Amino acid sequence: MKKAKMEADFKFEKALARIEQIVDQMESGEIELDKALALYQEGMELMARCQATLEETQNKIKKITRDIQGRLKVEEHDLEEN
Amino acid sequence: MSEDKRTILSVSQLTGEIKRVLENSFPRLWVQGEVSNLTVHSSGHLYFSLKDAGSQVRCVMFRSYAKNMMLMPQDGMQVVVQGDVTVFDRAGQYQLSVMQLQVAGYGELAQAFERLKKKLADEGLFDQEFKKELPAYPKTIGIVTSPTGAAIRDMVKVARRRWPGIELILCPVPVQGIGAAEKIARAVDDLNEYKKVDLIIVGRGGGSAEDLWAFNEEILVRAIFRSEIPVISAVGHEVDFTISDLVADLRAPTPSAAAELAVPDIRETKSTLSDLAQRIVSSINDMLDEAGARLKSIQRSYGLNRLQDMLSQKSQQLDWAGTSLNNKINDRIRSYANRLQGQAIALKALDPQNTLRRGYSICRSPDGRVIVSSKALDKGKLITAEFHTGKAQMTVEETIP
Repeated sequence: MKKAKMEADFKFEKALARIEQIVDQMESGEIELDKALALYQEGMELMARCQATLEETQNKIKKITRDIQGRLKVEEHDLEEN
Repeated sequence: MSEDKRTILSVSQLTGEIKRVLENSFPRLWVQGEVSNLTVHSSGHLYFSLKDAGSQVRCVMFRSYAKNMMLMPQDGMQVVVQGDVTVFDRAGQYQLSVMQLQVAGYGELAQAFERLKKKLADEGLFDQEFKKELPAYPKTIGIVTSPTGAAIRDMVKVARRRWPGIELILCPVPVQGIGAAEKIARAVDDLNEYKKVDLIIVGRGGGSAEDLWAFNEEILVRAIFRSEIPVISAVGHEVDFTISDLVADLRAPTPSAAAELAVPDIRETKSTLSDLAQRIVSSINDMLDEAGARLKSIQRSYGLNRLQDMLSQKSQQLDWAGTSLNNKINDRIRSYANRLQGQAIALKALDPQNTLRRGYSICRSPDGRVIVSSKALDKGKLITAEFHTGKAQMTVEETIP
């Protein structure tokens, strides 16, 4: 549950920005080794999650319409290829 | 009776006759005029008059034709209509049954465009301060366009090629004709209500100025303006400019271009990421190497070596001390051993067997006790004498004190 929520909250953009920040900090050479090791680990974990995002593929597109009661309805949509 | 020769028609007959004559004598024709008294009936039929300086004619445009119209006429608009002259029996009125309605010349459209553009510009709808920043890595993109046609297919193709994991949500809408602008506006609102899209693309493929007109209608322009989700407009071709383009957060020249602008290129992102990975790995390696080198230099330093030297000195001393302690203990053991040996020799001298060897003997009473005085004996008592070799049983003849 918690993990699922974390996955949903994962923002590629934020993760990438954080990785850039980590690299900058590490390259500044102004941090202690143990802090650097912690940053390295954080960076690598974010990197793995970004990598996983890059490997996702979507085969279907969705379609959003309103049903008879006027409620939003999301369903898969086949795009005819002709 | 002349009166009997009169042909008296009913009103319906007259109207029927007029209808027959009129409807047969006029071919399908084109008429130009100014629209007035326009009403849209709930049935979807349009009623209006066409007028010029000298006259006017009633017009009806049935829903089946009205729905194909590119844009809704407005009172005061110069239009050209194509239709048939018909008679509405019940009212006894002739009218034009309109099948096609076009704005008369580009001038009308251009004026409507300029009017709305000025009005909305005055309100500040196109101001830069309202432009929202587009997300660099959108996860989900809402696309408001026709579900058929090249535009959606192009957008899906480009988006998927650039980022295969992109999630696309289509809001299918008609993109031209009466009511299209309302439906497109509603779709933009729907996506805002749905919330789970990072970006919206609103657009359609190329067409005539009339085809694209929905994107110049106020209802749609306002919906794009109030969208809290960033909107990219992608209407027609590069040369086509609509009011939706002015209000959108970004104008794309075509639908394909919109997909290019909206979706990041995964190859670029992969190389950015691998570059970052390399930098992070090499900087941690540099730091570890540096720490290792420092450690080595500390190991070689005078201070640490001095300590090492002191330690080995002590260790040697300890060894030495240990050896000397051992020697002392060994000496002590040896001296004890010598003393023991001496005592053993002394003890050996006291052994009774050695005395017996010299001729002495030991007398014992039958209970084995050694007899040391004749007083302990009586005449006739049996005693045992023990010699250096062998024993003898004896009887006491006489005791002498």
